[in-house]
Amino acid sequence: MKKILIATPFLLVAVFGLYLFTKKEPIPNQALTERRQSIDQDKQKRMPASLPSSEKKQVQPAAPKKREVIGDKKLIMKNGKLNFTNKPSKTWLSKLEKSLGRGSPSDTKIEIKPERSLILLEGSLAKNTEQVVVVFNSENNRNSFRAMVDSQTGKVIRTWDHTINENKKTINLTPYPLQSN
Amino acid sequence: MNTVVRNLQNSKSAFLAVGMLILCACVPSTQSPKKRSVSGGSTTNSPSSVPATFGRIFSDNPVVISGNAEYPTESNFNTLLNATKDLVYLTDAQTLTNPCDPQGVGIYVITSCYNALPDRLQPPLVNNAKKWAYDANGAEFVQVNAFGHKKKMLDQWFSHQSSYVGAFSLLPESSLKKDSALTEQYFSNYSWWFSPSTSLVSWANCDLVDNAFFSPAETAICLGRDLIDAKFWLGQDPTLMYHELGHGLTQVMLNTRNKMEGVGVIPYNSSLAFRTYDEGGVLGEGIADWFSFYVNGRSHFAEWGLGRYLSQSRPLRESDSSHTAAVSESDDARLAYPDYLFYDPNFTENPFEDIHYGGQIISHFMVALTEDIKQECSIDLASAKQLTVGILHEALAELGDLTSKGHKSGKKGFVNLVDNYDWAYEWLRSYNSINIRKFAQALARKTYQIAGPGNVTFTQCSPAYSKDRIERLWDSYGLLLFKTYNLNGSSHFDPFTLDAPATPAQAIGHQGSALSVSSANRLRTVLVDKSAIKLDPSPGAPPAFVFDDRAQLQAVANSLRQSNGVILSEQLDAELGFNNGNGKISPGEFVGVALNLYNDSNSTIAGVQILASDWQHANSAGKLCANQGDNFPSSEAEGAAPAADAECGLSPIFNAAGGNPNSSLDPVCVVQLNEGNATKWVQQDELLASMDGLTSNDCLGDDTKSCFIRSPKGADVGWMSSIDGKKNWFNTLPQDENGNREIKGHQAVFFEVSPWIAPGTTFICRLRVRFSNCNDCYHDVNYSDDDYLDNDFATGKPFKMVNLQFTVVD
Repeated sequence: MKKILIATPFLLVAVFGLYLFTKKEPIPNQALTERRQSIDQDKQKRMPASLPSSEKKQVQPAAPKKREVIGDKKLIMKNGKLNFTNKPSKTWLSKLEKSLGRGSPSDTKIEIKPERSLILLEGSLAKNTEQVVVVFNSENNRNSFRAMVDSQTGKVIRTWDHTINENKKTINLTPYPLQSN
Repeated sequence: MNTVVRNLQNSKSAFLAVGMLILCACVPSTQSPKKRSVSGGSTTNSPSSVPATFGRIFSDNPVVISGNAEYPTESNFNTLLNATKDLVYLTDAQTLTNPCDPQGVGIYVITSCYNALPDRLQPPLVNNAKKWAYDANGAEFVQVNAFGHKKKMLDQWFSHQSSYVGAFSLLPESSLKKDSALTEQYFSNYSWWFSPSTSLVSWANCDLVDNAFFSPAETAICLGRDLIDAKFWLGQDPTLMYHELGHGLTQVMLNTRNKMEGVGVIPYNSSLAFRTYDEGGVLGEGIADWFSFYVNGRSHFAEWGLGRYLSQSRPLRESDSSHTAAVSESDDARLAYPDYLFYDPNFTENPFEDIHYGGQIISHFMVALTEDIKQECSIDLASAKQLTVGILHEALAELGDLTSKGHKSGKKGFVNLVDNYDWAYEWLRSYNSINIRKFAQALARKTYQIAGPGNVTFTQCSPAYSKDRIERLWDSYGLLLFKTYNLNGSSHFDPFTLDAPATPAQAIGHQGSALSVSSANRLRTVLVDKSAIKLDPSPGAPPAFVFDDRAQLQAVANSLRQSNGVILSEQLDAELGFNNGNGKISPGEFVGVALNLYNDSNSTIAGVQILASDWQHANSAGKLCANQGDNFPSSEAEGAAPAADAECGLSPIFNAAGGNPNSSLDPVCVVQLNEGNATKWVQQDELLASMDGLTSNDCLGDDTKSCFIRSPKGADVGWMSSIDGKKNWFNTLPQDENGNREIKGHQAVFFEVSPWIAPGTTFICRLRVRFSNCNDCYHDVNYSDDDYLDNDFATGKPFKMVNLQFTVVD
């Protein structure tokens, strides 16, 4: 009896220890995903921050996606159809690239990343557009924004999400008095 | 962060200047913390010393920890770490990445919410053992440090958001809840973040010299490095992470209501700032600085990142020792608007126009509001921060709302004109952008509704923060710039049909109470009539200054393209080859124009905004409205519409479908057309029609009414920070150490000039001007000083008209 009394606490500790050893917290899906990502990342060799990144293709081709309609298209549909002001063209991206590069310093690298293809409603009409991210990179200068672009002409309709740079390069201007008439 | 190495235009001079700063060790003595020993410091920070998922980060920046304002980078940074106190949980992943669970209950979780990379396009730091202790002298530690402080701030932010919104959700629908900008969709539609699939990345080894940024398009924070000292990273200073993340959270708050519509439903995001200097930028920097106080409660910011070499750290409250003796926390010695717009506490003798210095007014005001809420609501500082950030969130969510409803029970047009995102964005960007007046009013409205007498059910502040107390605090900062709280908003629609009202008096924005401010509380804030601003009447003074130097305008065009997305017309030479630098407006040029504005009052006016965007100044027949305050044109024979023209008498009605109000908003520049012996003023499409051989394809853009002279969107708003009483704008600009005044791009509006325009052609551009401390630019005297309706900002009524006449010459 005495032996049992002495052994009991040890037994309880051992059982509890065994329980802790064998107890496994369920691994949440999110953690699993992150681990898989980590394993993939292990295969990549880390590079010093000071080394420039490898040359990347500047314009990433847009994957064909279904166009999203922004707004209630039923309001402007006639006979089950939308009346468009433009027609998508395969050349919109190259036209956009050309217009963004026009007048840019030669050391500026421009990246255009298509995000989604849209149909915007304008009054009683619809317009095919592309939403892109534009990134400018040059020596010690980085800027980016989002742009809505005409799917036919490649013209920029609007830009937003501009970079908030702390050390903005200000340009001093030489004033000339305007001659009044 | 600040404009680093200001005034230095090339790397050589920057190198010399920074070198001098290092040699002089010019950290101002006023902000030098007393030296204290670093207790618990270690000489290494090894992985074996931390458990998995943990690491060590600095408790503050190296200057504050060491107590040495000149802490040398040759030191062993590991000694700045406390082995116990600085040990923090970082992540359970093998890279620096974390999920976000804003409510802490496992729903509406974003799995990959924020992460860290050394720099853009570089692979992440991988740690299989998840032991995030790195040598504090190395680049890896900087990544961990920045990530850890990002986590710290986000943990606090999400906790506060969850408590605030949770408390709101318990309120009955008939209560304050209806006035809240946040709704039940706040969590479920992931409007608490950039998007459900977006990870906010930090690049703490960002290969950028003397700079940092927040990029909303890449959802990235870049923290750069020093020009010379390879051991000096901005990411070593946690307060800079707080500041940059503050920009990010400002973006989140501004767009809360847009995201609540559902992912991608509103295609654009709102922003505060659009030029290198504008008051939205001043607000953005001030709010971002305040976030440093929000996290650590200290009265100073960036002693290491900006202070160590550059002497540009900034105080956050008036009691900070870096201020001049004239500044204190008494009501008459606060950092008031506009007196302190140029104030650099590090170099008080060298005032400087910059959004960061101007932003100090806002950061100090926000700190004072936090402290006042703490005192008046009898709560601790942590609760006061939670309530203040809730009020700030409410105000920004309303101001940035592109659905235009503003709050839960709001109807279309309450803010930002109309529930058409294109027009709403234009109102936010240009027509009625967020200046200091608009922000101050919105914040007062939300403070009144949430912590003040406007709330009877929300128990976060008891007793209520009194209306008089609100107004006195705002006034002590010169921010009591509004005569009503505009509780009824600015909608120009009928409350029942949500279409055109029978008269403006029946519009929603003029119904109900706007809630007047007690004028007795306006002691320090000065409001000035818009009639005080005019072109300089001095003999021989030019009406404006022209900028057409080719190299300078190339730089401007490049900056506008990269920073604002402004793409110039293909009618202009790509290299601006027609810009001849002769100071005249010539065919084919891209030119800047700064009005030579004069302040005829005895008080400083501030936040001067010059608009060259389209507006309603012609009827649908193209005849010019002469009743917009400029009496132009002087007669019908000269092109004016009939005096009783209905279209010229009413502000235009907009609708959600975007039914084209363009027909009544016209480009600013009109042209003089010769017809026989007579001349008249017409829109540019009439000139095009009169010119043989030219077609609309030859125009600068798609609109033939701006065929020959056009101010491109993004370059059509100019800002002058302030104009002193009885001075012109130029003479108000701060002088540098050599007595020179610098004119910068934001002070001008820019025009493209068609190469097809014949020399000798005369134009008038009907520019509209307003300023933030204006007595009659916002308050409609016909409606008891209630705010103008938003569609009124499509007309000349709220503005001072300034007509700029010039002749195109070779």
